[in-house]
Amino acid sequence: MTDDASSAGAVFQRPPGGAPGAVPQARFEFVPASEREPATVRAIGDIDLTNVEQFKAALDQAAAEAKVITADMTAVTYCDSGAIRALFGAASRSVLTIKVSTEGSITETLLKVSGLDQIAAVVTVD
Amino acid sequence: MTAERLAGQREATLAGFAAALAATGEISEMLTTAAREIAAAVGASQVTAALWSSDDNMAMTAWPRRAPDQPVSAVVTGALEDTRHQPAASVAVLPGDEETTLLAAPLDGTGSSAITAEFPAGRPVGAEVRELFSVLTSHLAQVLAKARDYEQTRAVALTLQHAILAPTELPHGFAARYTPAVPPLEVGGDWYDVIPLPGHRTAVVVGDCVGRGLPAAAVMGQLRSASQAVLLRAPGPAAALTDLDTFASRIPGAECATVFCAIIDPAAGTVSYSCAGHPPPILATATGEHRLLDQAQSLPLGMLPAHLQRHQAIATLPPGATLMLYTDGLVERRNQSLDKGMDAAAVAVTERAQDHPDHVADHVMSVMTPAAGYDDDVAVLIYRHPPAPLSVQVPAGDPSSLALLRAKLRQWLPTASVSPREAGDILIAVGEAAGNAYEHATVGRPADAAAVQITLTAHATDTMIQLTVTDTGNWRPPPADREQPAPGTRGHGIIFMHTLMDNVTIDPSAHGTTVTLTKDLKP
Repeated sequence: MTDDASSAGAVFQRPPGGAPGAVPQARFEFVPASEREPATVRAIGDIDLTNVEQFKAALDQAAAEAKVITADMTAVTYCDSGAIRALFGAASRSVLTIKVSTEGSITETLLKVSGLDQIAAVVTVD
Repeated sequence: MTAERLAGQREATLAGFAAALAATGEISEMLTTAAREIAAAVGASQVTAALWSSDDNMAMTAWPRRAPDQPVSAVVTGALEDTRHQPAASVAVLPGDEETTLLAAPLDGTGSSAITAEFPAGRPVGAEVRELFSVLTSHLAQVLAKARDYEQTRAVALTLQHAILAPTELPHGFAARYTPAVPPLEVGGDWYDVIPLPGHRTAVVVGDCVGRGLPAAAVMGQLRSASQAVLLRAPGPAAALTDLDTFASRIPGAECATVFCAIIDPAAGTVSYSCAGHPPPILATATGEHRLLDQAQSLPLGMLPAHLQRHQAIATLPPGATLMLYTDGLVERRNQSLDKGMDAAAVAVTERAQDHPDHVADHVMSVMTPAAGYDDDVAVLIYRHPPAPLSVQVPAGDPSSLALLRAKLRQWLPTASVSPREAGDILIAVGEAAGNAYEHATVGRPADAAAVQITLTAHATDTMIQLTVTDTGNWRPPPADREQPAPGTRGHGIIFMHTLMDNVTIDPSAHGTTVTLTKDLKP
């Protein structure tokens, strides 16, 4: 998992602080559409109620620039119903593809339980 | 060409053919090689071999290989079908497609195999070609029969080996590793076992028979079955070993085997044990200390003089303790004392005493494996006792509170032997419960109201995890249980909790709300 933000415009960053010893802070990167990939929001770390608005804003920015967007959740270490709600919103406005990692990931579980996998394309990445 | 030269050439071809087949392993590889060699030797355009399984499914091997979309001609399949029931070593000359010629022969005469060779149109197939085809296919038939026997024997052997070794599924909280010393055997003289007993107790056994390889494995299988049977009835580990002494004296080769057996009582937090000449297990605490279960040492099976009794001792299992049983192959090295190896194993367990038992086992095996691999059988069995409950209180309004709760939970769950997937489910459910408390504390609340606290508790038994999330405020009334919310609306959180947990109760009161979540743990 790379932590390299230079290839993408890091638009939102959680303020410093947070739990000591906790997982890396959440970050949301917007990567404009290229020849190979549609416009992508790449989420990294834990998404919870304290930063889900930033996730929503990143998805909105992507939707404003392109009709077809990807939410790359492969580097998400935790998310909850708030993040799922944000993805439902994005799926209602754009053609949404969600990338998740296969290995028992929390996001993959939630996509199935919520039924989001029926209205957005889900791509699992090893 | 003289008859002698022809015969000489044929012998050379057969010798080359036999050598090529001898270099092959699996039957499919053997048939591919045979088809290629036969096609070259007789000048065929294609050779096709067919095998029928015991339930009459046909599998074909051809050279040159057929493309996946290239069907086998009806003439060839028909010839294979007709020929397989012919007597062994007969060769039929049949008309092929469009004036070609086909040679066909059975491979064993039992109706389960056949082979054909197709020749290009207009090419005459003389007596010497038929003769060569017959010689080569007869040899193939012999080699094939041996290979099929061998594969069947191997399947039988593997099934029996797996049956005598160990339970394939361990109860929750256990992990085991097993490495036999003598390939290709998959069992050796070592064994381990986990036996659920009445009264919510569990017996654990590790043993080591004298010798290596097949003879040791044969004795091991008998001792393992016997130890299961005696532990189910014996009043305690020492009595079980005494019964096993009697049993061992009747099995040739079983005397002098070493065995450690113990009965774990998770509710009482104790392990009672008895040891017949076996290296003492390591008990590592969650706080990084360790001791040996060495207070009930005695002689190997069948070696105890009749007037002496087997010892039994009892040890306390502190919350979150890790118990590791093993055989001497793990710790014994040439030119090194046993103590040194045991110290190294104790360090390996202790430094991972907070990890999931599977990860402890992986770590021990990777640290202890000698550079050249083990030269003795190794069995390792790990048990993790449920840890002390977790209790964390955080101010609900602080944005970092939710992350802190998750961090504490992420740290605690592996100590309770919760797998990563189950841990993910629990994190989500707890996150939803805590998230509601957080929203309640931050949204539409008067600034002068007392700060809301969120308390998370987690409690583990050997079969389940129970968690509570309590806040000191009034909760938003939850939507009706399990009703599918319209996409993009609120209410997923409650569904997530119900779907991912085995039991969910939400208890709102005037002073706060308590969400209780229970997850049953799978083996």
